[in-house]
Amino acid sequence: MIKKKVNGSMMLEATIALVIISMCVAFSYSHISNLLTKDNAAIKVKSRQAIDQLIKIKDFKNAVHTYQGFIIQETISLYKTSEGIYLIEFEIIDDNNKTIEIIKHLCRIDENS
Amino acid sequence: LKKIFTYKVNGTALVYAMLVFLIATLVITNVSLMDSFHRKSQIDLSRQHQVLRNVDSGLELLLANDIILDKGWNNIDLFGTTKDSVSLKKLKWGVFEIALSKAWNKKYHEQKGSLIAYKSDMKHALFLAEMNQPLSITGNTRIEGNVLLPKKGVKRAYIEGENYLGDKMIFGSIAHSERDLIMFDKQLFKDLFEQDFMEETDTIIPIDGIFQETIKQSFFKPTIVLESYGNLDLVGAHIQDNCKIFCDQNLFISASSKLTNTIIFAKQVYIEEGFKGSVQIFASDSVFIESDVDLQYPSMIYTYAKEQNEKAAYIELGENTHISGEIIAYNQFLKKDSWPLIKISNNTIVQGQVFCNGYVDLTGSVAGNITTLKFYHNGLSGSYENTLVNAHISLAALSPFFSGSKLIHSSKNQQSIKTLK
Repeated sequence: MIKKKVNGSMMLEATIALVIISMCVAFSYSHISNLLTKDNAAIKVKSRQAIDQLIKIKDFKNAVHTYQGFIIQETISLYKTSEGIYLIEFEIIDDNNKTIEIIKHLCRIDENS
Repeated sequence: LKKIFTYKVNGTALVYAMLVFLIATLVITNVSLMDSFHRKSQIDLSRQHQVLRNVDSGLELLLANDIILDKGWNNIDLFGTTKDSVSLKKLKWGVFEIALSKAWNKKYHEQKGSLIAYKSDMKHALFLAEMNQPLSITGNTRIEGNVLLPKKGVKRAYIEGENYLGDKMIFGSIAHSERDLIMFDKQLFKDLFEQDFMEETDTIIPIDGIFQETIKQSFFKPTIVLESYGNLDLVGAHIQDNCKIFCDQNLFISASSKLTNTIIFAKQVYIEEGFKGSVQIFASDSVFIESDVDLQYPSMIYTYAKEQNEKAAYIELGENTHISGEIIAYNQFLKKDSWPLIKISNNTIVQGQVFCNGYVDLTGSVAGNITTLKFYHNGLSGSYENTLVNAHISLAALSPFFSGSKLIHSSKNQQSIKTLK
């Protein structure tokens, strides 16, 4: 099988095939990596985890929390309908100063705490 | 150019071309699928997170003191967008309230409930009413915390060969008490016993004599009421969450039974040695709890003698028993021979509040607060009024986060004490 002689044109055909397939793979790779970075998927997941943690701690204040690759801007305001209920807004901002998502949460804040 | 188009190639080139086309198609399809799956999963994750946040926000809203809701489910748009809708409901569960919150977004649904109690505002370890009689203490009695005592104060007593040996009698400040028992909402207590026990939506299961089944009902479903006219024995019964037991006579609860968050209305309740669970007991006559019983937080024991000719309300806790919650014995028409009595035996610990408009016989420990007209000790050599023998009362031993009912020493601050499903 190894000693079998093939046409010289086959070399050319194989090269063209390799080029086409390589182009497809390169396009796919660039598309996926672009999807994962430009779509901010990782930031969204990480920031939501960070926000869950902030809500769990219940130490709400107007503040900016800095993380790797993004910041969370926390703002507190009184909720419209109830006394003692506060609206906490978490604005997730990436390194390019672009708002990725705003997450809202209601929480009672004990005046004595 | 003509040469290229007239150039003849081998037939196998077609196979190669098809193979290349197939591989390229596979790669591109795969990428497209991954892309759409990724976007969809991002949207789903976002919705899921939003629904979870909204359920919690709904519960927080329900815990606000000033929220007014209609009976049944109330749909509220939390943030003015139509994407953050929640459905909220608040209902009474014995002395507590239950907050229920449901949120949804497309196919994602989430529901959560909370048992709501009131943050305790206890400032005193002991309130002993002004009955013109001092408090006598002996043995290893220890009272820690500020107290309100009759004007005659506190003295050492020598009873059954025991004397009080400590230098200090009260480990806290002493102030004078009054005749009336403070910080008790009589009307609310009365209402609790006179409220409609069942609602139209409840599912009623008539029981005859003995019940040994397992029932678990979510608070998001109608309440199950086990109804018995005559004595009822719970033997190996497992009853959890949204279930009430009504028995117009005597109710026996065996050690093999397990009750969680259950409300009990009965004339007399008898709990067997070794039982564990969390219950709210409303007894019109008496409650007997044997030794080694563990009534976990939040457990409430209330007896109420509401008729003039009724026997005194009576609660007895056996030895080595632990109760975390509240104990109240109250007689509306107080006559000298019909004072309610709460007996807390040796090595028994009550974490929370004890209230009695009669006598408390304490030889165990109370981590929290006692409010009573008088103490009572029934010893080998006789019975003594306003006497404590080897009793422990400590306000500091109670968690500062303790929350109870609205009946005694409560603040307006509502607290979620248990997550419900």
